[in-house]
Amino acid sequence: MRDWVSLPRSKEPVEVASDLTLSPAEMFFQMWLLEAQGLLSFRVMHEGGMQTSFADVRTTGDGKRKLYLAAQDAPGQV
Amino acid sequence: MGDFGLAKRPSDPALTEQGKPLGPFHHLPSEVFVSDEEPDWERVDVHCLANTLWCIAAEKLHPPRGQIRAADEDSLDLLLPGEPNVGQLAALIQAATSRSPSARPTLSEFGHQLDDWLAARASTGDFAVEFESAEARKFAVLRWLVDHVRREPVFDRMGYDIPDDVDAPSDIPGLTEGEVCEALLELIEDGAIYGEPVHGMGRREPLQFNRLYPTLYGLQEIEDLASLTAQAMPLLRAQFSCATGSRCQGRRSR
Repeated sequence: MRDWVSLPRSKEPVEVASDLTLSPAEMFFQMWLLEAQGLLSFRVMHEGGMQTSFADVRTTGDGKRKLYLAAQDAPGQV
Repeated sequence: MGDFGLAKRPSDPALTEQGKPLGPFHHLPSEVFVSDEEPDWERVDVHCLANTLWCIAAEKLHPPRGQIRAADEDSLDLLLPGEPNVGQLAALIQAATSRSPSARPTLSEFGHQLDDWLAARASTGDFAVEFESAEARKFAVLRWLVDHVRREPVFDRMGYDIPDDVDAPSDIPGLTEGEVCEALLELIEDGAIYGEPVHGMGRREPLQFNRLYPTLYGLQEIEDLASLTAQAMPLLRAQFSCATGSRCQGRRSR
């Protein structure tokens, strides 16, 4: 399964999910933070002037485990 | 610094009234408001003295609420990165504004530690002072970089040009462009940031830096990683939900 994320080089917030909106800079920062800790993985596909695209964005096994543990603390989150 | 008392300003609206906590509201530690017992007024005075010192150094009318921690954004270490030995003063203010009165120094100890700071500050040629000043500058540049990449859509392609006039003031308060250049080089060497210095022909210092971004190690130096990761969990949750086919908001393709 492939999943793509495109982040525009603008300050306009992007809707990540129905209850989550982030600026592109903050979204990249969070993606990088999760990836650096092995919780999320992705590949940089295209770096153009106006946007950067990421492919194969997926939650890793460690990420799923962390979500599971978080759900134990706060049921109904996942 | 001195205590000028209240008697000369009987009409001051900030004067203590019957039944109200004794002293200026913005400077008082929490035990004055919440403790059922009589507070240790010497430790209260130490708290007030420390945050008054902060107000004078930071040129602010009121101090931050609660403890002024040396690694927080309102620390003098960050506000005055060019000040020699400022880390020692920030650590003293942190201790003196501790929430727990017993963790604060006495007035006498506070005085001695201030004297130590002044003595260290006077010997500006000393290696330790130079080292600490350089560390404070690196700390300020690292925090600025983290704030910048979270605010501006540069992603991990941030560049920074070093002008010919290295004595010119930079975007980072209190630092010259030359000091920023030196701090960036050392942060890369320390592994606190990624970055590619670009050197010009016949010039020892870089002309510019490309691809600047903090490393996880650098981020941990200035932020609480667990707290930041907790902030990012909704994104991970959204990504997981999207991959499993639920609650995906139109950014998925096959």
